[in-house]
Amino acid sequence: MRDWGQLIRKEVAGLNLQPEREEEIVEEFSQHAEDRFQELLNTGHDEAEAVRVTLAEICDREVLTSGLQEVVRRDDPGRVLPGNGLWRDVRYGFRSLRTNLGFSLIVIAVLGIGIGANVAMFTVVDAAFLRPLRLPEPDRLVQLQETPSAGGSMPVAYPNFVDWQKQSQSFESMAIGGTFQETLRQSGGYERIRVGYVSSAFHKTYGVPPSVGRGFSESDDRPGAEPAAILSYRFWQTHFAGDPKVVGRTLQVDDQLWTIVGVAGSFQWHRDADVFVPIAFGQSKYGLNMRENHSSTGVIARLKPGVSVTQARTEMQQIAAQLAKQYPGANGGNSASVVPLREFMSGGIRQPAMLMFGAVGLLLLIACANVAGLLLARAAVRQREIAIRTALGASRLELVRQLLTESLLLALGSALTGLGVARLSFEWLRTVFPEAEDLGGIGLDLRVLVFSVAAAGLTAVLFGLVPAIQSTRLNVAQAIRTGGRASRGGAVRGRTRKLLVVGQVAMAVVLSIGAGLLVRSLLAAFQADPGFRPEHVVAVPVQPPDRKTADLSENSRLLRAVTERLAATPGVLAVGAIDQMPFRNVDSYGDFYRDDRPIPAPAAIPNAMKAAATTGYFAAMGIPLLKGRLFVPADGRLPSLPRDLARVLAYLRTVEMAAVINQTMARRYWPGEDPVGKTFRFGPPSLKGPRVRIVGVVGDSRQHALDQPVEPQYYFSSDLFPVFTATFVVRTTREPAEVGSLVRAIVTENQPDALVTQVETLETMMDRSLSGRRNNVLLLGLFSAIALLLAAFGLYATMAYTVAQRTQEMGLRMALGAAAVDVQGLVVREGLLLAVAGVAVGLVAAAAGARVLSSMLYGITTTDVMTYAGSASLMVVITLLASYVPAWRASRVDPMTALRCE
Amino acid sequence: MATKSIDAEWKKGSAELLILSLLEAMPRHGYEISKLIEHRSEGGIRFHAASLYPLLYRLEKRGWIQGRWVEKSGQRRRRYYQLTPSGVKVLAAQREGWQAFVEAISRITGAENA
Repeated sequence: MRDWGQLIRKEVAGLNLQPEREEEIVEEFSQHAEDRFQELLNTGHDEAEAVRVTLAEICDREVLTSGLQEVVRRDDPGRVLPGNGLWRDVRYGFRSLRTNLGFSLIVIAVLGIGIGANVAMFTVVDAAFLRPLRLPEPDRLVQLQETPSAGGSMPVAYPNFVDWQKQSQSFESMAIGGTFQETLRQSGGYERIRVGYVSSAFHKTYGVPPSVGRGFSESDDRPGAEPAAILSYRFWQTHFAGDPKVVGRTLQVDDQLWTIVGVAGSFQWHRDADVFVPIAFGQSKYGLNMRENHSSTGVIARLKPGVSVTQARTEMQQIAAQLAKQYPGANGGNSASVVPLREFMSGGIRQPAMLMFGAVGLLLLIACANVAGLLLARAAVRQREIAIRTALGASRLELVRQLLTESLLLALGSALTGLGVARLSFEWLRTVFPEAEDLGGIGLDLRVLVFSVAAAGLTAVLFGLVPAIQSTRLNVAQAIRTGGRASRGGAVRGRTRKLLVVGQVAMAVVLSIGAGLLVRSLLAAFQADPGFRPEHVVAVPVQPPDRKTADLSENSRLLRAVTERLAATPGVLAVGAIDQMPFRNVDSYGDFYRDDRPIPAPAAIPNAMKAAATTGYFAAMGIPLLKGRLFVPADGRLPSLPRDLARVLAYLRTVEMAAVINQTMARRYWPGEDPVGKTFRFGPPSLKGPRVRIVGVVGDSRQHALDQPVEPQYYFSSDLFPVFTATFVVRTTREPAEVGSLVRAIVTENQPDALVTQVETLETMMDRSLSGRRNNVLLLGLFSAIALLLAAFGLYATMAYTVAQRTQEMGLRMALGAAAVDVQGLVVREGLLLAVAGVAVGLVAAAAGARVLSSMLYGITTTDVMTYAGSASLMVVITLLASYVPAWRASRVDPMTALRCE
Repeated sequence: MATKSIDAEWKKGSAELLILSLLEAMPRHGYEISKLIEHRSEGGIRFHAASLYPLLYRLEKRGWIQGRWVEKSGQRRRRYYQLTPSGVKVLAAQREGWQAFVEAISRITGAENA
C-alpha cells in the first residue's frame, strides 16, 4: 500500500491543527485515497495514472481549503479566547521562529545592535544632561566665572571672590577652590599629590557632608589658623585604608604639617584633589591675593531657595560692573557669568555625546529599515501559509494576533541582545566619557530601554503585520496556487523594500561621511606640523622642593647644573628645560602690552602664553631660532629669594628681562616691524610689571595639542624668571627609561629633595593629545561600519529575494539565449540603481547635516570633497559586491529547472 | 468548462441534502458516500475527497451527522457517519424545501415548454 498519509500530512502541515484532529483527517483522507487508487487500478488505469488522478482529486488545494474554510473555523470556537490562545500563539511563534532560525537570529542581531548602541549612548547623554547631579538639590548649584569683554570665561581671582561673597544676596553659600600639585612627604619617601585649596564653605555648598570628622569652618580659613586638612574619600581609602580613626593624624605636604580633621563625602567632586586645605594657606604661595591672578580657581554657589539663575546672573553682573569700576586695572571690562553647575560640567562632552547619540539614532533607523525589509521578504514567503490558514478558517484577528506574537518575540529577543551589547560597552564608555560618569553616572537606564524596545517593537509589529493585513485582501485560492509569487501585495512590497534599501544606503552614507570627516581630521591633526621635531625626544619632569622657605634661585641653578651635566653625557644630542612643557601642563598665560604705545584699555590688554626656559630648550625641541638670539648669561640671574611672588616681582621691576617670542606673537603685535630689540611690559598695567626686551624670535610650536591652533607665546630665561616646576627635554639616541634614570641620578645628586616623576617620549605625549579625537573617530567609525554592513546586507537581501522571485524569468531569458553576463548585468544594474539613489540622498543629507560636526573638524571643511567622494564610492563598491552575489546566482540558474519549477 | 461550473453551482445548493439523504438509511463512510453520489447520478455529480470531507466536517460540526471510527476485521478502520436526531429534522425540512423549489422551477420551465 502506498503511503498517502505522508503526502496528505504535507498538505495540511502548517495549518496548525490540533495534532489528534490532524491525525484523524490524514487517516480518513488516506483511506479514501487508497480506495480510490484501487478503484482506478481495477478500472484499467495504469499505476502512474492512478496515482496522478488520486492525488489531483485529493490535493485539489483550492477546493480542499475553501471547503475546509468554514468547517475548521467552527471547529475550535475556543481559539480566539485570550487565555489558552495566547499561550498557543507564543508556542507557535517560537516554533515558527525556530523553523526560520537563521532569519530570526539575523533580525535579533540587527535590531539588538541598534538597540544596544542606543541604550549605551543614551546612558551617556542621560548621565551628562538629563539625570540630576548626584548632589542634594542640584538645581540650586551654579558655577560662577569671570568673563572678559573679549568673550569666553576665566577663573575667578580670589579677591574678586571675596567681594562677590560679601556683596551678593542671591546665594545661600558661595565657595572657591583651586587645585595645585604638591609633594607629600611620608616616611616611605615622596609623592606628588593634588591639594585642593578651598574656602571654608566648599563642601557645605556642594551639600556633601563629611564621611568622617568635620568639614571646614570659617575659623580654619584664616591667616594664622591651625593647619587643618580634609582628605578626599579616595585618598582616605588608598592612603589610610579607610581608617575611621584618621582624624587627628598628620600629613606633611612640603614643609607644612597638616592635622587631618575629616574625610570628604564619598562622592568625588573635584575628582583630582587628594587633600583639601583652607585657601588662606595658599594665598601668598600662589599669589592668590593678587586681583590680576586668575589662577585655576573655580567658584561654585548654592542659590537661595526661590532665586532663579537669571536673577542671580543679573545681580552678579551688577556686582562685577561695580568691581570693574573700582579696580579698572585688574577688572576693567570683566563681567561675571552664572551657569547651572550641570551645564557647566557637561559643557565639554555636550557635543560629542549629542553627536554620537544622533549617530546611533541613525543606526537604529537603519537597523529598523533592515529588519523591515527582511520581514517584508518573509511576508511574501509566508503569504501562502497565511492563505492556507485563512482557508482553514483562521480569522483575521487570529492571524494578526499570531503574527503580532511572533514580532513581539523578535522584539523581545532584540531587546535582550541590545541590553547585552549596552552592558558590554559601559566600561569602555566610562573611559571615553569620564565626565558623564562624574555627573550622573553611566548605568542602565529604564527609560532608554523602554524607548529602544518600543522602537524595535514598533518596527517588528508594523512590518510583521503587513502579511496579515494583505492576506485579508488577497484571493486566497490564488495565493495558495502561486505560492505567494506574483500576487497583488508583491508589487507594493517590492517598492517598499526598495525604498527601505535606498533609505538604509542614504543613512549609511551620512554616517560614513561623518566618520570620514572625523578620520580625515584626525589624520590632518596627526600630520599637523607641531613646530618642533619630536623624534628621539624624552621629557623628564622634575619637581624641585616647593617649600615656602625654599630659595627660588636654587631652582634655576638646579636646571643649569642638570642640563650641563646631561649635555656632556654620551648619547645626549641636545638638552634643555622649561616650566610649561608642551602637551603636558601648559596653562600659563600672561598679560603684556607694548610700552612704546599708549597703554591699552584694560579690556584690550593682550594676552599670550608665557614660559620660562633654558637656552638649550629650543635646540632640544628642534624649535628654530628665526631672528636675533637666544638667552645668554648676561641676561641676568635671579638672586636668592624666598617663594614670595610679591618679592620676586619687586626684584624683576628693577631689571630689564630678556624674552624670546614666537613668530605668531611677532606677526600679531609687531606687524611689519622687526620685534628684536623692542620692549614690552609684562603683566597688566595695574601690576606695573617689569620691562622686557625682545632678544629673538623663534618658530611657532603647538602647546596644548596637535589640533589646537598656535597662540602667541613669549619665553623668559629660566635663569631670571622664577621656576616652580620644570621638565627636562632631552634629545637622545638612548632609551627613554635609561635617560629617565640618568636624569634622576643627576637631579638627586644636585638636589636630594627634588622629585623626578613619569618619564615619557614627546611622541607619546603628542599622541595622547589627540585621544579625545581618536575616541570620537573610533565611536563614529564603529557606528558607520555597522551602518555600511547593515545597508549592504539590506541590499543583498533585497536583491537575493528579487532574484529568487524572478528565477523563472531568468531561466526564460537564458533559454532564449541571454548569456550569464547579461543576467548578471540585469541584477547588478538594479542593485546599483538602488545604491546610487541611496548615495545621492545620503550626499545631500550629509552636506546639510555635516554642519553639526564643524567644530570637531580639523584641517578640512564640512564639505570635504575627498570624504564625500570616498564615502560615496565605498558605498557603491559595497553595494556592487552585495548585489553581485545574487546576480552570480541568478546567472547559474539552469533554464530547464527554472522553467519547470512549479 | 461550462458543465463543470453548472455542476459546481448545483452541488453548492444541494450537497448537504444529498449527503443527509444518503445517510438516512444507514451510516456510511466518506468513500462510500462519494461512490453512491457518482453512481446514483450516473456520473452526473461527483464529489472528490477535497470537497467531500470538508462538507462532512461541516455537517458534523453543526450536529446533523456524527462520525465514528469503526473497525472491521481484515480492514483498516473507517470513519462512518450517521444522521443525528437533529440531522433527521434538518433532512425533512430540506427535503420539503427542495421539493417546493423543484416544483416551482418546473412550473416555470414546464409552462414555457408546454
